[in-house]
Amino acid sequence: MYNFYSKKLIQPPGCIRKIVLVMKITTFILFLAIMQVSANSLAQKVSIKANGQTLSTVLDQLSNQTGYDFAYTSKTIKSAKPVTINVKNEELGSVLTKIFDDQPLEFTIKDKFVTVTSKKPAFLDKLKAALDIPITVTGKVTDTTGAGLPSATIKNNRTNQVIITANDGTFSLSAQSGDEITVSFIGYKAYTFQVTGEMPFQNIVLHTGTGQLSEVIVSTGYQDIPKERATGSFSQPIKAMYDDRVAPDVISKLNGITSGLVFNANTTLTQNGQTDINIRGRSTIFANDQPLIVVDNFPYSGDINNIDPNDVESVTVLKDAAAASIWGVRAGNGVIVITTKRGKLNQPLKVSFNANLTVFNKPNLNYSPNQISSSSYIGLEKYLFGKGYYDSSLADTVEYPVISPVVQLLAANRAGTLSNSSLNSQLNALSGLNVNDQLSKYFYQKATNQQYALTLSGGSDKASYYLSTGYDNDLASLKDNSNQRITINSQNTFHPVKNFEIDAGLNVVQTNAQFDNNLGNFQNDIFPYTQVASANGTPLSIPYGYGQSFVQSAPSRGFLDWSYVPLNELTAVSNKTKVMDIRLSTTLKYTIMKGLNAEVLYQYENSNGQNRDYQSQQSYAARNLINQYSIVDPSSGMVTGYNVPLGGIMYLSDANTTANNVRGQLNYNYSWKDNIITALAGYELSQTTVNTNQSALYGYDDNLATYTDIDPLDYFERNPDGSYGTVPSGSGIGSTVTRVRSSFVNAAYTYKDRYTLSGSARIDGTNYFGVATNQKNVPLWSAGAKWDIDKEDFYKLSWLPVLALRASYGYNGNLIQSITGVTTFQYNSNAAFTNLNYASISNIGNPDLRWEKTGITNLAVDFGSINNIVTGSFEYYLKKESDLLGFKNLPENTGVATLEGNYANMAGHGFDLTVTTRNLNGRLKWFTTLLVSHATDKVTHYDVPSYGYQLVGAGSGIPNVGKPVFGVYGYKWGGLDQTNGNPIGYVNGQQSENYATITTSTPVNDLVYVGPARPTYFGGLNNRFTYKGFSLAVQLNYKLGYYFMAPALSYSNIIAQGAYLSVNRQFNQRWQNPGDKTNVPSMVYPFDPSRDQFYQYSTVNIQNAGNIRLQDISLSYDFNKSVYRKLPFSNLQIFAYANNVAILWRANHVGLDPDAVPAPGGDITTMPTPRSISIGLKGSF
Amino acid sequence: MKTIKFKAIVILFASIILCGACKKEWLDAKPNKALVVPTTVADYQALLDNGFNPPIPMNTNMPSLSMVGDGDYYVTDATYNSLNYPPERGAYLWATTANFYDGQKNLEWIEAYQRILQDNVVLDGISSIKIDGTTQKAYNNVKGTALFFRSYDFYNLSQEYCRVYDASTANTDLGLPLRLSSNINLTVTRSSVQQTYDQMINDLLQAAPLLPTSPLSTIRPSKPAVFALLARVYLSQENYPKALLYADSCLQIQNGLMDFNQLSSNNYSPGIPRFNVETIFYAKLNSYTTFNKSVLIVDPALLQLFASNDLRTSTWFTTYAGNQTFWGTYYGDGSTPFGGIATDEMYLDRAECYARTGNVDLAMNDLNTLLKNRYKTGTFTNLTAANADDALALIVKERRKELCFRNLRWSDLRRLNKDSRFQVTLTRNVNGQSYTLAPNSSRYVLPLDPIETTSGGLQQNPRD
Repeated sequence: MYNFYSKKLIQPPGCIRKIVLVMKITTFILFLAIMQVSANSLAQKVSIKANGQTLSTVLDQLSNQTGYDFAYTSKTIKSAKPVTINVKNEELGSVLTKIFDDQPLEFTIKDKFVTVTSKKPAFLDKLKAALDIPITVTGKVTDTTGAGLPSATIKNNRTNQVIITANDGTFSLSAQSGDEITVSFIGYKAYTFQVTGEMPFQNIVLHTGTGQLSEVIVSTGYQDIPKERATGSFSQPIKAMYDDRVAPDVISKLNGITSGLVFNANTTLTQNGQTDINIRGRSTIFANDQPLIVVDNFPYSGDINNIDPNDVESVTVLKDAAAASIWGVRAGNGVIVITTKRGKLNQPLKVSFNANLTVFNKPNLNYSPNQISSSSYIGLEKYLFGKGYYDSSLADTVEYPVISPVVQLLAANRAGTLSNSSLNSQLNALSGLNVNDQLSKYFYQKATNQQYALTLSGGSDKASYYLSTGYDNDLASLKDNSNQRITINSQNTFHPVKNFEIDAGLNVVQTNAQFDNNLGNFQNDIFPYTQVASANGTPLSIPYGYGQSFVQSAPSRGFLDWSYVPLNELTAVSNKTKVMDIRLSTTLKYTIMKGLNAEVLYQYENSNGQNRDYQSQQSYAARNLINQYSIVDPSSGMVTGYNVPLGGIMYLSDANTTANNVRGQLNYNYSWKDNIITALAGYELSQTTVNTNQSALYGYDDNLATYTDIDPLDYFERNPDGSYGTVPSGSGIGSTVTRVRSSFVNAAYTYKDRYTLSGSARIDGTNYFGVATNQKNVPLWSAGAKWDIDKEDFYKLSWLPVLALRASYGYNGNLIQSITGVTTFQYNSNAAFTNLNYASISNIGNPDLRWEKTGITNLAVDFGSINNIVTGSFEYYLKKESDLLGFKNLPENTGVATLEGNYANMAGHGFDLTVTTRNLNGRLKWFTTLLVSHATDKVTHYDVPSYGYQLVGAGSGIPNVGKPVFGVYGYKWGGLDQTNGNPIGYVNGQQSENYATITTSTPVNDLVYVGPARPTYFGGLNNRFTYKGFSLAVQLNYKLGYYFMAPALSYSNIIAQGAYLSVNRQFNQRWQNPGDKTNVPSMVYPFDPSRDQFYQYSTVNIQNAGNIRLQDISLSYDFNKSVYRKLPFSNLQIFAYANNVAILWRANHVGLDPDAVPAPGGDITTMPTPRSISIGLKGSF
Repeated sequence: MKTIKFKAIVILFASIILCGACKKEWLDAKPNKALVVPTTVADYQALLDNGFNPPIPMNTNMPSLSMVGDGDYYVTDATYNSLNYPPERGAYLWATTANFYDGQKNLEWIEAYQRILQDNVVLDGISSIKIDGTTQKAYNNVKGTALFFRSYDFYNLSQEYCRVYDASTANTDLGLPLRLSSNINLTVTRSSVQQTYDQMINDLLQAAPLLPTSPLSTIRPSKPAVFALLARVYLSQENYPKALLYADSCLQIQNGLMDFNQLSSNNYSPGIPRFNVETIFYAKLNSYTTFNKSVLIVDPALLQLFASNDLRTSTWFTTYAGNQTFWGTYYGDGSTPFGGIATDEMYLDRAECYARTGNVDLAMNDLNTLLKNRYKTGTFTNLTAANADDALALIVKERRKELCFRNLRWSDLRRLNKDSRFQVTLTRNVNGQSYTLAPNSSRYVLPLDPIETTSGGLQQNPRD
């Protein structure tokens, strides 16, 4: 039984009493909309050909084909026009619609009975027809989930007039009857409909076109722009891969899948465990080099790792001035805009969940080349012992330095108390041990991350909601270190009255971290044959702090046990950090008139971190401090009292960051005929205050919460060396305030949907000291243009239907917080001996201080072949940085070595290429995305000449004109002298072994510049295969065109840390006899630091850092409800994911991961990120 | 009408935001509570009150490279070979200019000029502060303190990096670069020795009336400290009447002496309290590796000068690894010896000046007053001198003993070597080689570091 109408007769109900009813009606409307767009399927198919025949003839034919009866009067049929139609195998409904389209008749179908009647035009329609009055077409464009599509293009094909939909997807357009209207949106199939005399509200549902191009809205944090009208350079991660990745944070998920974004390794930041990223290379020398991170309209003040990636809707990277200059002085390093998820209007309750488990391999402790086997180590100790290196330590009864067990044996043997055979057997036993085996066993575990998220979202026509909660439980690879995170996120939007929108968000994150593992305390103070536990697992003490004879005798003098037992420390300390991060955001938006709305955005963010580090009396730190400050009777040598009370020590610290941001903004959005204008202007204030304080409680009993005050002022004699010191009071307090005031405007104009111009300008002011008042405010601007050539009439390339050109130019700025224009003092408390408050010079004033400025030119072409088989973009950019901070050398007698000011300029250029190909599009689908980025930088002006010795090594960061900020330089290498194994260098072009001259006086021009220390080519290759419910993605990341200095052997560094020798593996390849084929110099005692310095930093140790790695693989299976009908979920996905899979190719020959190059010297803790495997499931219902 | 109401709300909101906080002062908030743009006398006093804390302490790291080479101690070859700061090796062996720095900076020179910059920041800064009756005293103290500190550094540097004062050549001998302004963009070249001394003396004479007789702490300078420093300056100029005047002026105000019999030494320290009655101005020397008591070996010739009942032997020296080492006076930190001014020095200064001016009795009286506090109770008998020369010889001998390891000997050697009666040749034996420093050698002037003579543009000291 069918009911079929040639026009929609749905009237919205007059009043809505129950939400359920609303939902039902909404669903019904949606259903009808879908019917309209996808055309209803009447089962009956007909074929008919008519050329000017009468209507009755045609209807008769149809009746014969279908068995339907047609009822009409002869009077009615007389007014019919002749029919011309040619259809094959079409549904009856659509054929009838076509036939009756321009007939003055209409029809209804009921029970296989078609009734034809005369149309009864309303009076208004008659009037419209008479005067050709435009018809107002209103409607809403949504995606298949019912969410409104903002900024979709609505085009009248007759007049070429274009308008765009509002943020909720609604539109309103004037047209004439018969006009064809096309609704399009990149990534979706276009839909065209015809304007008829009486148009109901059009509910238009667009279906996605290709799976790869669904992200088209770019967000600047101030506005959302459809990418097709964006003149600037924006990039977004490959969405599918971003979604597949499993990580506890947002930023690390971008690696290799975001054009222009590079993750640096081996930098100061990464060594501190932070992420170091650059957008399009480096734009500064000494100022902040990290991009600004914006979360939901405002810069994020808390720890970005606190954002649950499950809550993230989109990530947009702003790369050029047109994209980023709206952020003014904070945009110099680019901007990363993160938008969190929102509920959608008119959407039923949707419940989503995500649960996964990641397991990491244990790190490879034997990775660092800065260690040698126990047997080699013992051999070296024997050598040094023979040279008398340990004699002063062995005789030292003031500081009692640690003596290695081997040296003790050797000393006992020399003293005659240990036989040769006994010595050798004991040394042999030690030779077979490797401390890393025990450390791996007792201090490491397989790290695991568990992640759970649950989301509820939905909305009525007046409100939408999004509520999510997440729980992460990470157990680190170091035992007893862990991190838990709970997030609660609520985003609600209300439309209480017409034209008024309230958006309210609450985001609460609590993290609990524990750092009880003490490996870091002794890892550099351990011998390779040390054992931390006996064979049966009993914890053992290790040589640590003081010589063993002293440690053993200390308790008999009344000291607390002074030994260090690493395994006991695990339970003796409790170091916990709790962070509570609360973010409240409110947006009030009022549409004043058509196209103009006013917004007030406010965000409050408070991040409160509390650290509670309890060192019980059992901990070494507490015992050592108590012992050091014990009162000793001079005559008896016995402990008679304590300056640091017995008991534990509790260190408490607290850091509180409060950020208030408020922005008033007017948005104007208007289109007429061929023109679209979008503009915004606003004013913004932001204030961030950071308050910190810390304290220490001595003699603390964690069961009773009691403690004893100490005397932090008097100087006490310390044991055992008799030096004087105060007991650290542990107290401190600090407070900083950052204020920024900005005004901004931004406008874009599009003509004929093919020419777009944009411009933006911004003025920032801050409260940083001493920037002269007239320089407190800095204006920054940008301009951009886009030309869609493919829409020109002359454009004929049918194989390349998408071709557009973009260009932009403008300035971003960079903040300088550390230096000031006027001389400032920093106050401190408790000067030594006097306890007076005292000050020190924080900055010597530099009245000429200015902001750093980055000028960027961006030229781009966007392309897409027919059927989107190949799509992508190519962007070329030039950067010119001026007024960069740099140093000027001053004579030593000025009292300041260098003065920091705007003394430097830089330049850079590069490109970003993004290509996506659709290789297979049948049941097996295969997409490939290739990202290639090139970024260079060069110091073009710097006042201070650099010295050779400053530049050698990898990435000194000392500017050298004509070269990148971070370059790899080495001394010219002349091989080894084959008679004695001395390394040969060059002085004034002549071979030389005058190492002191080489290392102190080699001019910059005589150094070998090998290349940049940061990647110049980088990106990724993503391949995605889907077959039925299966999806497989393989991501390769690569970084090329850069170099590193491999850690090398330095003999003098071996003995830099007393008893603990730090020896590079190259020791085993050292030159020993003429004819040895090696580049490692011979060992000559006493060690010559200059000789070592020369070898360590000569070109022979420089390696190409280029590498290609199989970054991650994801495999998933989607249970589709159409296949699994009994599935209680609307969709369910199970997935497996492997990260840090393998290095496929590396240019270096020393077996190092270029992302984990240990620092020269004793760095044994730099290790590659271990491989990890995740499994999990996601779903919704 | 509803819409008008909402329009009104929006406009209200917008205007609050746009104008509520757009006052100029909003951007004038201090970015850091602990940071100030100095405006008050108290701010400048606070800068000078940083005695020992980083970054630029006023009372420590006093120039003492010369003490590395003053011959009162030596180190083993192994210790010498392990020294990793080239200037310390250079000073130890009185190296040639070319071999002295090995391209390194002279850190103590830099630190001294960092303090001088702070002094100049204070002196320039307070000059624009309006003062009234309530702030006059604090203002005077700040100004006097800065002048004193600047002179103290100029004095210490002049003993190392300028030729010994000789009235006949002082106008042409190379003096210090006299930085007297906080403007770091000014270029300053080397003055003459005469200008350097004149500057110190003028500044000290200006400071004397500004400073209190008894400071809050002896890490702050005082009137007696100014007088004591003037005595030092005049002594090094061999202007004995003036030196006598100021040593005496100092002792008129502060003349306390510790009786070493009353000290309670223990295993760790000589038992001398940090701030004691003898300290006029408290400061510490720059610390060099060889000052560390675990490597320092006291010159046996110095040890032999002490009588067996002299308590200074047990107070100042201790046995370490079989050798006699020095463990500090006035401050028991083994590797950073005392570098300030104490009354014992003033007694010896005054005694010498009395002797030099023929006043034997007063000279011997001062010497005996000091020594009876240094010997075991009941074992000391007053020293006597037949004439001024005898008295001078006794006093010079006591100077070496009493003032050892305070970086005063280098200055004494330079001054006294001019007199054939007191000439000393220093010798060192390192790695089987012998090194000597002859009296009046040009190497009694340390070289400036290569950075200061090249990019710094200063003239190098002429040395052989």
